[in-house]
Formats: sequence, structure tokens, C-alpha cells
Amino acid sequence: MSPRRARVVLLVLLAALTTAVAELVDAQGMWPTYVVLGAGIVIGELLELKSEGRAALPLSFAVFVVATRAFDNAEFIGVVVAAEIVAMLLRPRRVDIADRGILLATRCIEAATTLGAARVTADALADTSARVELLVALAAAAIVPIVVADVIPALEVRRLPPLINTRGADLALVTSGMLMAIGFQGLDGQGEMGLWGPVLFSIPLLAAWYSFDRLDVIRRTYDQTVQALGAAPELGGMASLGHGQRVARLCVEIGREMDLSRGELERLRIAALLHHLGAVCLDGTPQHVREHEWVAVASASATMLSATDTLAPVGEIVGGTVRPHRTPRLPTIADPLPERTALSSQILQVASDFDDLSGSERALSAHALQQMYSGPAWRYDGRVLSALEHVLERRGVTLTRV
Amino acid sequence: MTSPALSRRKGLRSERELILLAKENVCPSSHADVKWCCATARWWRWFQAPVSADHVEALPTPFESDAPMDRPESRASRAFSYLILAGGCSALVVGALNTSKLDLSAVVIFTLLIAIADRSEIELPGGENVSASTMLVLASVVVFRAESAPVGPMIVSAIFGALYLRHWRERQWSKLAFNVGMGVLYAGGATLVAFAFPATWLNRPGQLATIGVLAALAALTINLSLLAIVDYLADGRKPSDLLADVRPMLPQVLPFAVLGAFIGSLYLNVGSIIVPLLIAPILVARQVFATSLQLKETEDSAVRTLIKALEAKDRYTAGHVERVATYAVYIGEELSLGPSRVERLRLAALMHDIGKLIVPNHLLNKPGKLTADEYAEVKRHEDISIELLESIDFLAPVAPSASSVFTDYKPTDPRHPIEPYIVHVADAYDAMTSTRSYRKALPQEVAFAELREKGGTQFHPIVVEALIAALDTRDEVHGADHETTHEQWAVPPPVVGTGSAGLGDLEATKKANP
Repeated sequence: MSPRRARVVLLVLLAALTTAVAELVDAQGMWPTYVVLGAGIVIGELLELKSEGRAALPLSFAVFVVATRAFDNAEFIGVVVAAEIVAMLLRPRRVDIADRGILLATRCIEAATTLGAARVTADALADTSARVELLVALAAAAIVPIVVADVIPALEVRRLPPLINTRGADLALVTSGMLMAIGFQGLDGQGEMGLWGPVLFSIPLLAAWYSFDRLDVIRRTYDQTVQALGAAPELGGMASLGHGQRVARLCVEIGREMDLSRGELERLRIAALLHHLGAVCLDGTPQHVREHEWVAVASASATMLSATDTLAPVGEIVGGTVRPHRTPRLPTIADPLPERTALSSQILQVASDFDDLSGSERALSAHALQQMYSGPAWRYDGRVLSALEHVLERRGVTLTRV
Repeated sequence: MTSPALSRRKGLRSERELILLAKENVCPSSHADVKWCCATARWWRWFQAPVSADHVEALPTPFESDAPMDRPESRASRAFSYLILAGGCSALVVGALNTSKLDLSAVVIFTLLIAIADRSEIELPGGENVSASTMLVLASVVVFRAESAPVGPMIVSAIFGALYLRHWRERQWSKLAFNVGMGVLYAGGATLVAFAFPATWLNRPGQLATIGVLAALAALTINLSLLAIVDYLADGRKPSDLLADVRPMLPQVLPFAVLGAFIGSLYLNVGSIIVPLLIAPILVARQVFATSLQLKETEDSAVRTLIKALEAKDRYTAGHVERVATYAVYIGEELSLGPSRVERLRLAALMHDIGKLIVPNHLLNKPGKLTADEYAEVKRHEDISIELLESIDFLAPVAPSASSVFTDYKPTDPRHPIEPYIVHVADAYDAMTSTRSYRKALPQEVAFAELREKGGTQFHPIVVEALIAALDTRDEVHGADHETTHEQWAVPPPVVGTGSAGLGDLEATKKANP
């Protein structure tokens, strides 16, 4: 077990032990509830459900839901703020003070919206049955902080997170928060378990956290492995340093501009990182790689990638870069690629050539794009060039039309 | 030599040992001799299942892990399975006689929950799988205890045991009978424990937790006992082996048991509204776990791409890193490293020569000595390999595996991770036991002697012994006359002494270029 996971297990055991001691010492008083739920918020801040393309969701959101039932407004604010301050102090050293402060403020806003949603919903449904009122209030309290957590970073990047995909974390948090709250105080006066409820019913949520954590480790390892593979030719001098990363970023931006799907963007990104892997097969010294050898490089890269089923689609994209957008004189290309693959190949070709022409220097970007526009019409897809121009405009590079 | 004499002299216990010995001593390639030996075994084994030549072919070798479903059965184990089913049926009858009213909706809900949970296993860090099915069986015990319906949990477990579709497809009736009977009995044991306490205990958290723990222990004891007996009857497997297999899972059983008891209590008080709230995080965990498995496969594809790249550059290096990874895994398992560490070791071994991608082809297989400049250019691959391994968080702690400086044994540095030493030994072993353009493969005994001689100075002595033990356990022999890959050399390589493979005659060059 990794040290981090061992720490998590120890913290959970400590929480269970604290609960037991608190129940024994002062079962009727409030301070055990303050301590246990406060500790739950601290632990929840250190554990996050990380989904791709979204802000990480802390497990403390589930504890907020329990706290809306356990405390009145003043107690809720006091416990949450105190626990969040402790959690900020316990964050890893690599997080600087300013970021901790921002995170503290963000979390307090999210906690406040949780409380507000619970109270407002309960008031609004006061005339319905107690069971319906409670369940809807708990659901609202669980959902609202997640929405706020999505909206805040979306305002910064001016892009909404995916609506449907990657919502498993939300479901796990909402249902667990509700279950923990019901376990704490029961429903219709029945089933109250006190502090044992939140402690024990957090176990399914921790199982979900473990799965997400494992997925995050595997995803990072995969990403870094691909980047390491792509960096090998660069470190050997066969391509400019950072070429693969720059091309990958540009491909993703162009792909977004052209409404490629998430899956297509991911395949395109991997293709961009590995498109010059075949350079390792060249026998000459790196600085003497000739122009026509880059076709062989792309073909070799495509062959290596196509050897595995999972990366074969990536290999097709890389292999497609050896073909021009159209052949001169002949109306069709023999053995054409599927349209979407051909488009991805074109995007990769455009991004790679642009990076080679501009030498990653901003000052040369406009000139490089002008050169590509001025080239033979059959070489590049005009739609892709147009998308590249839009991307460069967002970066502040303007093409001067001659 | 008669078969009874053979059996008596060898004191054999299991049919498999007899057959395997027959394969070696009689005539390994003779199908008829093996068939004769099987017939002999049948005369000397009590409750021996009929054995055909086909069945013999289907037996796994000692070096393959058995899939539980593929274990051969004996008549004894089959008879025992049906006995367990009979016992389970009797327990059901007794339970039904003591039940006045049964909530069928609860039976249906819990059966569905357990079926969903059983197919939603996730793997924990130690490699063991955990599912919520035990937790839900205990929840059903609590629910039906409150309703004084002892037959309830037994019916739920019986249905759950019968839901294993593979048994139906393959018509493994005895295994089906065993699962159903065992399910009834262990649920019955847990129910007996729950009924030993007053129903008022279900409303107090501390006492409810006590019921959960004791019921889980009773269920676990019955479960393990029955499994141990049937395993022993089937293929002579010792109960201690079974206990060693399940021991890693035991710490998770008790917390899940307590949780199960509380879920049952909550269901009683609040109703079925908790069912979707409980199932959702379990299903999410399972879905995410499945995604991580797919991504792991994609990551493996990326590493295979690396091997393809190395193969395109130099076929020896590609085969070399795969063999080094295999030996490294053997050593890691021999040293009882955890599954996560063994996986990290495997990846580090596969990628330890990634820097060779940038070494010019003509230098990689140069038959003669390298010049000083060529040596420096080739050695650069180690720095690049370390740099690339350090860029991967998962492999950063074992990045020194790619360096000959960091893999030389340093007994005075207790903090030095062991993985680089493991990769170093595996690398050296494969280098000695593979044919290169400039040298033929050495015999395995010579390689072992070389490793042992340099153990304590160049190689970690414990790692060396672990490699030797691991290969011995697996009966694997490598080196001269035992190579699995055969290159066609235009000029056959000479037979010379030890030296680093893949990088020319570096020993001599190292001495010439200190």
C-alpha cells in the first residue's frame, strides 16, 4: 500500500476511534459532533475525486450535507471554517500560501451554498411530507456545491465542463452524502445512528475514492509514459526540444475549433506526441536528417503504433500525415482514409509543419502561417489552416493579408 | 515395473503427482504410456474421478496457476458437494419451520443487491478483490432477524449461490450444488448468531456492531472450513494454502460486516429508499475501476510501442528488455514484494534501456571495441534513460535502475531502493545468457557462478540468490544450448568470457577509459 493510502486508512481508523471515545465520554453533548464532523471535513479535504477535464471534488462535500442536519447556521459556519483552516494548513508544501487562501475562500463559498440550498429547499417544501422535504433538501445540499465547483473554474477558462461524461464522481458524492446524513439523524424519527452513521456510511464513498485515485495514477503514468517516449527522439537531437508537446497542444486547440469529439481529441493528442518516434530508426546522425526522410519517419512511427490494437487508431492518424490533402492532377486518392481520420491527420500535419516553420517563436508565427497559405493548394486542408488562424488570433497573433 | 509398486515406492499422494512423474519416468512423449499411468492411478485412488487422456492434457502444468473453475474434481469432492447441498436443504427446512412470515420483497431486493454487488468487485492494493456481497448478506441477516424470519437470509444466499451462470453453462452441477449449499449454511450460521441475541440489540449501535462482527466470524468460519475440505478432497490442497490465499482479505471482512449490520438496521427503520443511495457509489467505483483496467491496457500498449521501437532499432535490445522484465518480476515475487512494487519493477525493467533509442544503430551492434568518443556517445543513453524514467512519477523512485553507477551494490547505503539492484542482476544475467554479435551465450551455471562471485561487491547478494531460487522453482534454464531466440549470424560469434551485452566490449573499454 502506498504511504498516501496508508495515511488515509489511518485517518479513517482514527475517526472511528474518536467517534467511539466521544460517544463513551459525552454521548448527549455537542462537542463529539463538532470534533467528528470537523475531522471528517479535514479528511475530506485531503481526499478528492478527480475526473478528467474537471475540477477535483473533495469528499468534504458529503460531510457538509451531514453538517446541515447536525448544526444550526452559526454552528455550521464555525465548524466548517475552523476545519477548512486546519485542512489548508495540512495541505502539501508544494501548494503556496496564495493558492491555499484562494482554495479556502472557494471552499467557504461552496459550504455556504450547501447550507443555503438545504435551508431554502426545506423552507420551500415545509408544507409537504417530512420525508419528501428532507430527501429533497439533502439532495439540493449535495448537488449545489458540485455545481459551484464546476462553475468557478469554468468562468476562468470560459468553457463549460462536460455535461454528461465524468459525472460518476457527482453521483457517488451526492448519494453518499445523503446516506450519511440519513444515517446520522434517521428519517421520520426512525433509524437515527448518531455519529456512527456518517462514519460507517462513508465506506462506500471511500471505495469510490480509491477507484478514482487508482484511475488518476494510471492516467498520469500513461500520459507521462507517452510523453517520455515522444521525448526520446528530441533528447537525441532528432527533433527540436519540446516539439511533440507544442504540436500536441496546437492539435488539441485546432481540434476543438473544428468540433472534434473527446475521443478524437485524445487520439490526436497521442498521435502528436508520438508522430516522430520513427526517427529513432534513422541510421544517420540526427542533424543530418533530410527532408524526404521525415516521410519514412512518419511511416515508421505509424508501423510501431499500429502493432498494438489499442494504439492502432493513433497509428492510422500518424500514417495519414504522409499523404497530402489532395493529390495533384488525379481527382481521388487510392485507398482513402476514413474522413475523420484524414481530418485528424491533416490537423497533425498542419500543426507539425507550423511548429517546424515557426521554430516555436511567436514572432515567426504569422510568417509561418502565411507560408502555409501560400503553398500548393493540395498540400493542406484550407479548413484546418483557417482553424489554425483562429487559434493564433486567440493567442494574439494576427495574420497580415497581402 | 508394475504400477502398484511404483505408487507404493514413491508414496505419492495425488493423482497429479503420479501422472507428472509418469510423464517424466515412463515416456514423456508417449501418449499411450501416460494413458496407462492414468489407469493405474485410478486403481490406487479412493473416489477417483474417471480420467481420460484428454483430461490429462487439460491438467495444468505445475508452473501455471490454476483457475479455480478449472480444478479437476474427484468423486470425493463431488460427493461432499452434494452432501453440503443436502445439509443446506435441511437447514432451509428448519429455518422455514421457524418462520411465521417472510417479507418476499426484502428477499427480492437483497438478492438483486447481492447479485449487483458480486459483479462489482474492485481490486485493493494487495491484489485481493473485495465485493459488497458479504456486507449485504449480513444486512439481510439483520433485517430478517428483526422480522423473526431465519429462513430469509438462507434463501437469499441460496439464490445468490445459484446465480453463477458459468456453472449452468458448463453443467458443473456439483459445483453449483456446493455453492448453493455453502451459501445456505454460512448464512444460516450468521443467522443463528444473530438469533442468539435479543432483538432489542438491533437498535443500539454498539450492540448492533457486536452482532455484525460475530455473525461475520461465524459465516467466515463455515465458509473457509467447507472450502478447505472440498479443496483437499478435489486435489489435495492443504488448508494452510487456502488460509494463505484468503488472509489478505480478512482485514476488510470485519469493517464490511459492521457496515452490513448498520445497513440492515437502516433498511428496517427507513425503508428501501436507502437501496439506490447505497448501490450508486458501489457501481460508480466498479465503473471507474473498469475504466482504469482499460487505461492500464492502453498504457501497456504504449510500453509495447517502446519495445517495437527498440525492435526496429535493434532486435536484441527488444528481446533483452522483455527478458530482463521477466526475470525482474521473478525476483520481485521471490522477495515477496507487493503487487504494486512488482508492477513498478516490471515497467522500470522494460524501460531501463529506453535511452538506447537515441544511440546510433551502427554503434549498438558493433562487434569490435568502441573508441572513447563512441563509448561516451553510447553511455549517454543511461543519462537519457534516467531522465525519462524520472519524468514518470510512478517510476521516479526506481529511475536509478537505468544507471550502471546506481545499480552497483552499496551495502553502506541502507536507504538505497532494492529495485535498481534487481534490474541490474536481471540485466547482467540476460547479458551473459544471450548470444551477441561478438560473443556466444554462456551456460547458465557459469552465469550463476559469476553472479555469486560478484555478489556483495557488484551485485546485491540476496537478489542474486533470489534469481537463482526463482529460476530453480520454475525449472527454467537459459544460456548456451537453451536459448529461445535464434539469430542467423553471417559470422558465428566466438565463445569468450563475461562482458556487457548490447554495448560492445565495454569491460575492456571501461578499463581503457576510466
